[in-house]
Parts: sequence; structure tokens; C-alpha cells
Amino acid sequence: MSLPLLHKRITDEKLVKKLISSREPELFGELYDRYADKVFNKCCGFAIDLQEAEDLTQDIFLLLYIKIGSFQGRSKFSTWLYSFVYNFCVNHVNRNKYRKMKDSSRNFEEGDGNPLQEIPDSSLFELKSQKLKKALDQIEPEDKSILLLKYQDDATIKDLMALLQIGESAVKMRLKRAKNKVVNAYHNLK
Amino acid sequence: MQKNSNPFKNLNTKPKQLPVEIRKKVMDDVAIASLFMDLTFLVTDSYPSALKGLFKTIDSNEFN
Repeated sequence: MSLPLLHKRITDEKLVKKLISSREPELFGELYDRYADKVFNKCCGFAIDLQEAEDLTQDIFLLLYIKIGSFQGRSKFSTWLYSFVYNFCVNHVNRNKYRKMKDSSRNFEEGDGNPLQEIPDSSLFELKSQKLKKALDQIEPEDKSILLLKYQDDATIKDLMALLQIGESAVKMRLKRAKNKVVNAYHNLK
Repeated sequence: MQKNSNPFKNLNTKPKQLPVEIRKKVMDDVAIASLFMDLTFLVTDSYPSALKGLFKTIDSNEFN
């Protein structure tokens, strides 16, 4: 059996382990093939246009090659990768001061001074996806990314604790705040 | 495609495909990065700063 075929049959975690020890570009190419479109589509959610999403994707894969050794296997590789992607995109959005000024409608604060509400997941799941997409664009990218990790990428509380390096109560509070912000943004959309 | 009751799963109903030419660009960058990492490992542990010029979306003076 040829080596490339062998690489195609192994799990992400085994592939990454081999990549960390060998740094073989061929192994990285296999990882790229598995995730390029997924990473690109996640970048599209944070980028102004397709060109910016392509540039972000290119940079993310380069940084991934450099930092792949920091994957410690505390969560599934895909969950770790998506967190890595969101971190990169959030930093990019926050760094882009021009866009911050342009998007002055962002910074949607929770409840306009009202106390945080406990929003059950069942209420969140009643939201319409296209309107939800617009609401997610209204809130801070950090809040958007934790919601996407939890509800789109199925990261568990334990995963989020490891990825964000914070405790369980802090994760739950960040989720609660993010849910409040997105629901408020959703109901304030015209 | 069956719709999921979780609206977060339906945010991207028309997934986009990354242009195929990006793969070559990424793998070229990776080859350069790999070379830099091997070379700079011999003389310094600050290879990230040596690679900052490869990034498109990060300013050179912000890379760390």
C-alpha cells in the first residue's frame, strides 16, 4: 500500500501526531485536503468578502503548520482546529480598526442594562437560521465564536474549558452572556 | 439536505469551495516555513519573527 493511501485512512488525531513528529509537508497536505473547505466557510462568516476569506484561510493554514505542536489532544482535533480558526478570525476582526469604525452598529450589549436571562437551548433552537446569521454579525466576534463552537461545532463545556483555558463557571457565564447578546440582537433586527 | 432543528447547523446552506490554486500557495508557504524553521532552529528560537513576511492578513510589526 502506498504511503499517501495509508495517510488517507488514519484518524485526524493520528495524522496530526505523525505530522508533529515528522513535519512532513505531505502529511500537512492531507490535513489541508480534509479541512480546507470547512476552514474557508468558517472564515467567510468573519470576512468582508471572499478574497479576505481566502487570505484568512491561507494564513490560518500557514500558522497551523507552525503551531501544530500545540495540539495536545485534550479535545477532538476538529474542535481544536475550529477554535484555532475562530481565534485567528476574531483577532483579525479586532485588529481591523477601519472595519471597526465602519461597523459601528456592532458592540451589541446584552439586554441594554437588563440583568442576564437564562436562555434555554430549546429557545435558542427556535430562532430562524437566516435571521440568526444576521444577529451573529451584530455581536462581538468573541461571543459569536463561542456560540459557533458550542452549537455548530458541538464543543462540550469540557472542550471549551480546555480550549479557552478557563473554568467551568467562566465558560457557562460566557455562554450565557453570548446567548443573551445574540437573542437581543435577533429580536432587535428589523 | 435535511434541515436540522438546531439553526446554527443551517447557517451555511450553500457551502463555498476554496479555489484549488490556494492549495499550491499554502504548500509553497509551508515549504518556506519548514525551511526557515529548520534553519533558524540552529541559531535562534524566534523563528516566528523570521516568518512574519509570509502572512497576508497580519502586519509585520504585529506578529508574535
